[in-house]
Amino acid sequence: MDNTSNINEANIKSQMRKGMLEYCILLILSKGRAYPSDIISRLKEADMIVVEGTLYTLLNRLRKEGKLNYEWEESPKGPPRKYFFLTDYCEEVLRYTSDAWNQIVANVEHFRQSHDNRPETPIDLQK
Amino acid sequence: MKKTFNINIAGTGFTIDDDAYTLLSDYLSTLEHAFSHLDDFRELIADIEGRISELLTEMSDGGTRIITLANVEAVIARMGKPEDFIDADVKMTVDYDIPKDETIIDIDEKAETKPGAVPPPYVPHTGSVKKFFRDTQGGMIGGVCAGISHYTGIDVVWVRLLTVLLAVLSLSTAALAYVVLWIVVPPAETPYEKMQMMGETPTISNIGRTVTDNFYESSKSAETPGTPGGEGAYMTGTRSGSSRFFSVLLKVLIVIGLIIFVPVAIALVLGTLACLMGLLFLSFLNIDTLPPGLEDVIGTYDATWGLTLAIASQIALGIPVFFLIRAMAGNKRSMQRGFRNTLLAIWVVSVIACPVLTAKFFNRLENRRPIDIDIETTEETAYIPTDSLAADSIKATKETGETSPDKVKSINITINRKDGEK
Repeated sequence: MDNTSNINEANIKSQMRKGMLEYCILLILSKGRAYPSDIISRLKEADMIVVEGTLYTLLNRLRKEGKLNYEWEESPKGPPRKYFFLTDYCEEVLRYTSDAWNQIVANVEHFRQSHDNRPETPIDLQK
Repeated sequence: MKKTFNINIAGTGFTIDDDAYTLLSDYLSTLEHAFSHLDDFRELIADIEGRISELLTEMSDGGTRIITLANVEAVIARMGKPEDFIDADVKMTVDYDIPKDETIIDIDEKAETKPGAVPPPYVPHTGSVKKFFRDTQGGMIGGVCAGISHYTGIDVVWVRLLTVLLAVLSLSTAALAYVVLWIVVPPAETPYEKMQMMGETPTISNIGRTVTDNFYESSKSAETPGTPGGEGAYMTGTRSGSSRFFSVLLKVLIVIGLIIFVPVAIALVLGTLACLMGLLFLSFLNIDTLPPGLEDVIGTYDATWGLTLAIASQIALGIPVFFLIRAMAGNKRSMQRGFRNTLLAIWVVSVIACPVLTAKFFNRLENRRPIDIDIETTEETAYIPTDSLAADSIKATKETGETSPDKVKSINITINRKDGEK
C-alpha cells in the first residue's frame, strides 16, 4: 500500500520538536538567564518553535517541576521582564538529559546508518 | 469608520479598533478557560498578555498607531490557537475528572489509526451540561427566546411564536416574564459561555474554533451594514458605556411598548370581532319578527349607536397601530398617497366621531334611566305637571293632613315609555 500521501512533513517536524523543545529551553537557559521573548527569538532562529504560546505553558510547567525559577527585572523600555534561570536541581537534570540525549542520538545514528546501507533491492529469500 | 477603545495590556496602553478588540478579548478569555485547570493560570495568562503587549508594541513601532484586526490576527497566528498550546506533559500531571486510562487510550488509538494526524487536544472535563444563557447575537430583543431555543432544542421560531401567543393570552404577563428573564439571565459573552449555551462540550479546540468563527461572522456583518446580522453585531458588539446604555434603553422602551401594545392589540381584536358580530346580528335582526317584549331588551336603537361608537373607536385606535406595526416590521416602502390620505381622513373622522358618539350614547342611556316624580298634594285630584310626562314613573302621594305616615296614601302611576318616543 502506498502511504506516501499520508506523510505530513510538518507534523513529523512538530512531533519531533515537541520532544526536543524542553531540552532546548534548558540548554538555552544553561548559558545564562533569559526572558521569554529572548528564548523565543533564539528558538525561532533554530526553527524549533512555531507558535509562541507553547513556550509559556512549557515554562509554567518547568517552574512547577522545580527546574526553573524567575526574577523580575526592570527593562530599559516597557514593563519589567521575567528573567528565567535554571535551579540547581535542574543543572543536575540537564546533565542526565544530556547523557540520555547522547545515548539516544548514538542509537538513532546506528539505526540510520544501517538504514542507509540497506541493499537497494530486497533480498530474494528463495535464491 | 470604526470605533476604537483604549486598552491596557500588561501595563502598556494601546488604542485598538472595535473588531480587533472583540477578537483579542475573545482570544484571551478562551485561553483563560483553556488553562483554567492550572492553579496559576492567571500568571500564565499574564505572561502571555505580556508577550502580546510586546508584539503589539513592535507592530506599532513606537508610534501611536491604532491596532487593527490584521494586527491581532497576526499576533494570534504567532502565539497560536489554544489547542497548539497544549503541553503534552501537563496532560499527565494534572488531575482531571475524566478517567485517565480512557483518555490516553483514546489519544493512542487515534494516533495509530490516522498516521499524520495531530493527536486530539486534551479535554479538561468541565461537563457538557447545557447552561441557560441569553443569546444576544442570535436574539431579536434580549436573546431570551434564542437562549430558550438553545437550551431546549426547540426551533427558535416556535419559541418566539409561543412567547407572543403567551404574551397575548396572559395579557402581557408573559411579556413581563420576558423582561425578568432578560434582567436575570446572563448573556453568553465569552466563547466558553457560548459553547455552554449550545451544549457543546467546551474543548480547547472547539473554543478556539468559536473564536475564529465569531471573528469571521463579525467581519462579514461589518462588511454589509444594515443587514440584521450587522445590526445585531452593533447591538452586542458595543462596549463603550454610553452606547451600551442607549441600546439597553432602546430595548427597554421596546418592551414597555410591547407590554402596553399587547392589551391594546387584544382589545382591538376582540372589539373588532364584537363589532362584526354586532353588525351581523343587526342586519339579520328584524324587529317585527321578534317575540313581543324582546325588542325592549335588545334595544336596537341603543345598540346601533353603541356599535357605531365601537367601530369609530376601533378605527381611531387601529389605524395608528397599523402604522406602528408597519414601522416595527421595518417596511420602508412608501404606501400609495391616495391610500394613505384615505386612511388619514378616516382616522380624523373617527377621532372626532368618538367623543360625539360617546356623548350621544351616554346621553341616550341617561334619558333611558327611569325618572321618578313625586307629587305631594292634599287634594283628591293630583295635578301632574306636563313636563313630567317624560318621566318613567309618577308617584302621587295624597296627604291627609295627619303627620302619621300610615295615613299617607300612595298611588303609583307608571308610564313606560317606548323606545324612541319623546
